[in-house]
Amino acid sequence: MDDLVIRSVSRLVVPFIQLYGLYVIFYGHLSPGGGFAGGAIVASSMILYGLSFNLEAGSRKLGHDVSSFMESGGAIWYLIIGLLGILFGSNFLANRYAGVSLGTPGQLFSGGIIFFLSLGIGVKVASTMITLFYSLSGGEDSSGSNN
Amino acid sequence: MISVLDFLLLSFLIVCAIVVARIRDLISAVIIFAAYSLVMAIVWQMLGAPDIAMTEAALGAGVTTFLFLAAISKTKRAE
Amino acid sequence: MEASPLVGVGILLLIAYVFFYLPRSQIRHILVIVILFMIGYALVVTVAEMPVFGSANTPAYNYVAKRYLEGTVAETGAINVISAIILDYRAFDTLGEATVLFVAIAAAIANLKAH
Repeated sequence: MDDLVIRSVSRLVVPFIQLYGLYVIFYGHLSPGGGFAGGAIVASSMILYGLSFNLEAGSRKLGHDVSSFMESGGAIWYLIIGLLGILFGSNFLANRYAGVSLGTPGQLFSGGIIFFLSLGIGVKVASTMITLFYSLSGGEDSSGSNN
Repeated sequence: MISVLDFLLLSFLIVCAIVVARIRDLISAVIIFAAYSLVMAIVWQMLGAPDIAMTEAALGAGVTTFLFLAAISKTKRAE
Repeated sequence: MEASPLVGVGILLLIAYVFFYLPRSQIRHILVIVILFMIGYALVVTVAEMPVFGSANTPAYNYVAKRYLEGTVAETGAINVISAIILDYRAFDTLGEATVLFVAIAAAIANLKAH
């Protein structure tokens, strides 16, 4: 699908969708949203880019290796943040009882580990959707077996 | 009690669900399901759950539609 | 509703009789319609017994919800109560959800790369 109107409109719209998705991820502890919603929005922007251009252009922006690395890295990041609670002398995934500074409620860097956990969940959900998109549409290493 | 807008949206949801189950053409079913997801997002927002509404609008109307279409393009179109 | 367990057992016995013993005929068709109407009546009665949406004396609104609504800002520092619940109070549950996503994508890639 190589249409001038679709390419121009998606080139205009995709940065704003990504900015909105990143806003939803980063402000998950202040406004409605969080990792799942923001990650889905970022992933849908990348899927829109890969559909309106071709798959090679999409995978040049975010390759299959990078997205699958981010997909594993999000889960490992979540586990590392959880293990830091044990390291600081409390339970797994402990927030206030591990001595993390909570900050002023309402500021961007507040809420202790909630900000970092939301970031990890967002990265993981977004890269899961993008990896599923590439592998289901036969992108990047299409071996010609599209029967 | 239930308002006029609530009644319209919910009856649209019921009609969409019945049509998705009854229709024979799978691509039409996927498009109607995307419309169902959009109206469902509005209903979530009116019920006071804006985060679920955002997730439903992004996943139900965007990603799920694409995944169904990709799966149909690898198999047959008719049921 | 004292009679509701009796009605449920009756519906189950009727379903078992219709689907296992009755041959395919006109009377079976009519009985299936009767069963569907009985199940629909039971669901409508159940919905009519439920408390009004958003009212303060639903069974789900107990001391747990009150504790979360009152203590979230002091205990976690987050304003959004939903984020505080799924990423602080119930963070281990969210780890399970992430594991489910991981297993699903691993199975999908393993199936799609095999072809």
